[in-house]
Amino acid sequence: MSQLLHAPGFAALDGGRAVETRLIGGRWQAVAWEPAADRRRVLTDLPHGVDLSEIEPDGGHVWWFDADTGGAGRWRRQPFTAGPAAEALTGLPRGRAYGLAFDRSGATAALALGVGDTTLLYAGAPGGPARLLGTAPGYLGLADLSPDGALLALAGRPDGPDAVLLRPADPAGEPLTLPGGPGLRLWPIEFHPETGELLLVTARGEHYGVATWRPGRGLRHHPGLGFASEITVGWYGGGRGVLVQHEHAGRSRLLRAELDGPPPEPVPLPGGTVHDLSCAPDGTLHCLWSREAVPPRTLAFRPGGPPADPAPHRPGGVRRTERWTERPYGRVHSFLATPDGPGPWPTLFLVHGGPATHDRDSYDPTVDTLVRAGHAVVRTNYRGSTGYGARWQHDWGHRVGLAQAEDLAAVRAALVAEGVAEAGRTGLCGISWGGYLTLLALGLHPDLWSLGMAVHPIADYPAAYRATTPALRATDRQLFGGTPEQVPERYRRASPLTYVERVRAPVLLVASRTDERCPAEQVERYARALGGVGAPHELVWVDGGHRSRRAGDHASVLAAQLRFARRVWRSP
Amino acid sequence: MKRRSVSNDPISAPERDRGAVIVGDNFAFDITKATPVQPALKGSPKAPKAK
Repeated sequence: MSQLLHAPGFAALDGGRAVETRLIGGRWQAVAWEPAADRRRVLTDLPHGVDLSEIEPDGGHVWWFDADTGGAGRWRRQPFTAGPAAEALTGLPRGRAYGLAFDRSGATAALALGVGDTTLLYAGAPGGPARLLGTAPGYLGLADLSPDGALLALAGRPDGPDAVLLRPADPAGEPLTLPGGPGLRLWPIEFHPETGELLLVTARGEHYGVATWRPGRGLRHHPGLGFASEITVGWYGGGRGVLVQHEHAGRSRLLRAELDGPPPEPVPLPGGTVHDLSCAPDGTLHCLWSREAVPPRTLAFRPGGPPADPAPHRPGGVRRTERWTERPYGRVHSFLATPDGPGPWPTLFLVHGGPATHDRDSYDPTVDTLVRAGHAVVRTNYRGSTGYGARWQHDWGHRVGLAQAEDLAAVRAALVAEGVAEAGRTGLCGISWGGYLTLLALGLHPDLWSLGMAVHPIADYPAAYRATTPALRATDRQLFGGTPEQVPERYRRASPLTYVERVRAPVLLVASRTDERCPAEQVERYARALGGVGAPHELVWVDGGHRSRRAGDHASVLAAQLRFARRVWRSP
Repeated sequence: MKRRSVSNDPISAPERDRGAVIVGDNFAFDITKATPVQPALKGSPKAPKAK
């Protein structure tokens, strides 16, 4: 069967039914799956694909989000066995999907939609009319609905005054907030399926941990579960059992624990990365997993049973190592892939986006493709990346882009000195915030980089801020410590357009007219500015928005990058 | 442990990220048949015309 995008979602009350998102005919689509018979039915055939799907607790119906390439759409509801899709709740406006949850029986669904700059909260019986529960300015994500359907858990900015909002479904009820603040970040995760106790992830100072909340008792931290880098958590195994996923230095691990019980026990995994994780009602874990040399696959296993099957490595041609580059503020971790044989090679830095994510020991078809075309490929977890603790992610003084460009330059210098990277042919390539860093570094350090390829980038930061989504505006305010009006100099120094006259390297720009996150207008304007200063460049237009749900769109971008690198560098 | 179609935790908050992470197996394509990228490099020296 074709590849999965997410771990399967299981019906909470019927382990014989699940929903998947699979690549069908080159597009992500929703698929109904009966695990016992391993029987599947493809539910959707949308031209732009589907990447969000859920299943009702009794397994009778699947929900999928019918979105345009800009990310706005409506939830549809379709029988698991046969029949057409209809509106999941009637009377809903089009909007961005900010979360969907069911109560324990499935009698009530709650969802959050982003419409313009507002979050709208709705509830209703599946298939029936939507009831507006309330609105909030900006972005609020719906984490969960309590098992009795009485309480919604919503996620605001983790360090903000609305970090957790607990809102009664009854309009007469009084909402309650759990505030974050300096030194405390909070993420609501899920209600206990029986007791209704809310599970949360916390970050206090430099340590990530687990907390619970109950009405009348308030927030309680569980000090036996403390971690030096990012985690997520879920209720697991009945009672007060939990499963923790811990990300550290580009690798995942799973731990099983009882709240306030003995120290957590690792769940054996064959290294690598857990991309997504779900749990069948019988306790079987389904991990969408990969490592550098092994493409994604599902590992299905039970903790305490036979260890997850270590998959064979894909045969050679790509040599994979890691580097830690010493800096005064810490060590910068990079994953390096090179062709066999001695260097130096023309070297491309694949710069990750986010910035709140990281490169990892996981399979990336772009890496293998570029290495087989004769390049060394470097993936650097610059300051701001997750997986190295709170200080690495946050503590770089609002020097947005500048700190990251310094890290990339330091790793480049080390690899040139080592004889891995060819000094005259080192370049940058990134998508989204990675594309932003690419453009910024080309202008900041024009003597270092001889090639840049930026896909769906920020090119003019103040303009991108004004035109992007509410959630990303909140992220930018956090990164910069304010809006472009409040801290204009920080935005100016961070904006690639500020340095466009200094760019010397040929630049490939890729943009989409329906990109809602890094809007096309500011990319187009940056391209004109490059033309104005005589900098060689190409602007390639693609369909599919910021994150296409069609594999062919990603393949065509990669093809454009390969051809551009070959032409500019005259590489093999 | 529920699966989240819209996740929001310290390791995955896609609505808050300009991340564009794609979990892919391979983008099997024939590089020789891919659509040519147009237009040609602007600002680069022009190749001499064939006579």
